[in-house]
Amino acid sequence: MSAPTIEIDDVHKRFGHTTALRGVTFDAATGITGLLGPNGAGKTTLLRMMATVLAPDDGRLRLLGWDPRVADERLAIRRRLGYMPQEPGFHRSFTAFEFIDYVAILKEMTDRRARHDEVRRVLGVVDLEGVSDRKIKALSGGMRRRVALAQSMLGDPDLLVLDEPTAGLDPEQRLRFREIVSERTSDRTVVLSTHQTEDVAALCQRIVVMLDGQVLFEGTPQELTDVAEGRVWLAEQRAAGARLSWRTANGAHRNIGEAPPGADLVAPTLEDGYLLLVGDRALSEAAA
Amino acid sequence: MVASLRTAIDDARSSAVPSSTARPSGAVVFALGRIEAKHLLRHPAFLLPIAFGLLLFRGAIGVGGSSSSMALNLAWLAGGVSIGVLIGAVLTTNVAALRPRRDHLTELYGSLPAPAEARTAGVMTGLVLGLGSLAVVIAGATWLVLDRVDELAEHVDLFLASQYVLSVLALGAVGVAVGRWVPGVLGGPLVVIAHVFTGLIWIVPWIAPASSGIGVGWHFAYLLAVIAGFATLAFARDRRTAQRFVVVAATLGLAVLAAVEQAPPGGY
Repeated sequence: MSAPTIEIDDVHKRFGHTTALRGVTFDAATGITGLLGPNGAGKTTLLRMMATVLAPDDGRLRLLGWDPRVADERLAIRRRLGYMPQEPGFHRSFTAFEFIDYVAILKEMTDRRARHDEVRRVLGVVDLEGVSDRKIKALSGGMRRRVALAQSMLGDPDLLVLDEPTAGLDPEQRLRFREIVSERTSDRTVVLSTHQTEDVAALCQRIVVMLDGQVLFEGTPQELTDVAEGRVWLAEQRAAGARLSWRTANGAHRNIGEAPPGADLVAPTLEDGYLLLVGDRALSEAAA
Repeated sequence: MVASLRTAIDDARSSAVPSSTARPSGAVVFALGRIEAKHLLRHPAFLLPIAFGLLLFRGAIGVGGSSSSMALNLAWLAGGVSIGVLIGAVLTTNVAALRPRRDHLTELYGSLPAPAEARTAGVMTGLVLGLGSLAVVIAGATWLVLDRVDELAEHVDLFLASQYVLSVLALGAVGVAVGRWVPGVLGGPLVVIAHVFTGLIWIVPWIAPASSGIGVGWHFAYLLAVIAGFATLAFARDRRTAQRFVVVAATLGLAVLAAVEQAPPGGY
């Protein structure tokens, strides 16, 4: 792994009586890092910290080599950051072009002609050139998310933080998203959270699985897939030892759990590994 | 209750977006101002009061019977537009100042290098570029029209025209300040309603001809102090420094003093 551009060391965060992060530690370098975890795992809190809009209560965080707690360094980070929040807001009475132009100005792009060229470029990247003069309130949900994605890419930032960028996108748009994000990641750092394990498998060089405000797993997609090695099998019906089981299209049951001897083992997927990992922790906590 | 209040304050603090230390650059503010100007002028909160003012004053056309001149009728229409712009200035700037919070954009904007003050300054610049320019045009046109009405010509002068422009800017600054400090959309309308129904508009007029006996110098001081005071109050929401609150107190104190001093000895 190249030198880390994101360094997170024992970061804690509380909101009133709720602990959102409890000692999160991991590094990320250039390339795409995916955050996986169930709702309430702390992914959004962590991403908001990486976007410099939330300060940790405790612990150490460095982004692109700077400390976001130091005001001048925070500004330096913001100048090289692109952020797409989980629930991106919009000025609904603005056109898509006007809104992205407004964000571009707030990104300190003051040369009008160059800025407009850049706005047109990012609108083109997300295939929204044709609706750039349409008001945002008239756009579909998927188009709005693409507007949000477009604004995050203004200025080709060194650090791109995307919170559930594929939520609400149709399959075609999701594939297009993968294409967009995977371009030029050799010298850029992208961190994204998602519930779509297919996106993570297709895009990410590294995966961080979070649960209850802690890092449960950190590794490559293959390493997460390997968690389920020998624990996925097909049977005619739901097996007794299966933690999860569902009937597949060809009628066989795909079982995940502790395979019985002689089981018809199949190659696991990343999703199997994730489900087992999260399920194992839930079981061990219940036992404790 | 104290405990829950403390928890609420702690929650607000722990969720607060760390501020940006950068001072808003002139180029950023001007670029934002251009966009804001366009949206201030096009917003229904601005256009509807103008339409309302026109409709209201349209009823006055022809009240002079056959002796009613074209110039007098135009004067009524100009009056309708002028009043609509004054009311619209409060409402549209209030909406613009509320927009980031109303549209759930504080998180995204918080991640950008330009500080919150840049957006406030952008609305203020839009106020000057958009509504200020329009006010200059309206004041000039109204002056030309009123100058042709025998009963009114003697009251029309540069003092009257310039205080109209300053009043539009002052009411716009009030709208921005209210929008920055009062989270609900009713803040602007309540300012307008309270202004009219408390009678404040008659006690401390925004626009009065020199022939009314108003202290010209004090009236300018009043308008400028209101602009400076409320503009600083709006910026104080973005960065709460003691210096800014001292400026707010001083300018609004001057506005109160000027409001008292400008009144003619026997009243208007």
